[in-house]
Amino acid sequence: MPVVANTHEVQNGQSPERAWFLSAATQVKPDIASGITAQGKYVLGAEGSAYGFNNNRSTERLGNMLDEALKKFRASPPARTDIPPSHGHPTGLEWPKDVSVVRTFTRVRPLPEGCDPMNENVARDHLWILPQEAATLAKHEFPDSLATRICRFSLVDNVRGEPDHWKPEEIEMSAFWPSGDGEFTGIFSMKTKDGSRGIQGTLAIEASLQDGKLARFQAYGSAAAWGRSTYTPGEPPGRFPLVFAFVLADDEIARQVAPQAVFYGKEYLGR
Amino acid sequence: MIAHLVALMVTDTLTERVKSVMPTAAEERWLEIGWRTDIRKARIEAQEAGKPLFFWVMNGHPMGCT
Repeated sequence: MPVVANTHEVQNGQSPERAWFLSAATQVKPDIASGITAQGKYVLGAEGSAYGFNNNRSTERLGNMLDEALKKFRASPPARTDIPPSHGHPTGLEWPKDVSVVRTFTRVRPLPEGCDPMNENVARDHLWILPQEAATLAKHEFPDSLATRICRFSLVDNVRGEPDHWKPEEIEMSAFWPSGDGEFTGIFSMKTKDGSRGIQGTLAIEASLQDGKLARFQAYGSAAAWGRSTYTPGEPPGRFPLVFAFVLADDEIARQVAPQAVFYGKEYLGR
Repeated sequence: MIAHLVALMVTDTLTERVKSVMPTAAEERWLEIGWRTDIRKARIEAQEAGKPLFFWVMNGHPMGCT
């Protein structure tokens, strides 16, 4: 049964699912208890037993782990158990009512010659748009809170891994304005205090509402970026091109997977 | 870089620009697996089916960030 989760939910959150996961995972990866990341692939029983762990990209090693874990599972299958109900959203997160979810994609394009193959990745994340922000868009205005959220948390170089998001004081310039019927244009410039990492570019947006709900939202961004985040080494040298695509999403993944920056605190929603 | 800018100039709609960044079918093959995102439902399903859970967890949701 293939399952995916975020360490921020199952290691750092507060939910029955977290308690179950930690109890099981520490049986095969004890250092989780001391705060080491739980990243990896596990074979677990529904009641909380653990049969295997691997955090290596070698398909051979992963295959061997799965074979061994399956043998253990068959030799010692889990007993039936009562599985407690979730509290609130299954992720244990505070999920805003009637929030619209936008799926975001980022690429390095065109790819600078000779750069690290990790730059060929397409990155993905989600962006939340609150109902009151959607209502503001309908009035042909671009809400400041949404502009800030996009600049801080969506216009990032996440192509090679989890990025450092922009701090409020790292937004040098941000302006979003209506540029047509349901159209908006944005320009932005963010950089760290020491100037070692930054991004400058433009964003073209189309948005419209139907029956009070966001029915259409798409955007294309083009930027020049430089530098690396803590966990995104291997960036192309000097300034390199980034492109962004934002599309409205209303599927199971959109309803279950929060924007990554939500886990850094309530400031994601501007609180 | 110049070829990219020229391509942008002749790509006249926002929709086409957005599509140019979206993942290709080959880049989305991993989504053909029936990944469960609701842990509780997956546990119930695994228990009913008598199967183990293959549990992939990352710093950054595999279905979301990176």
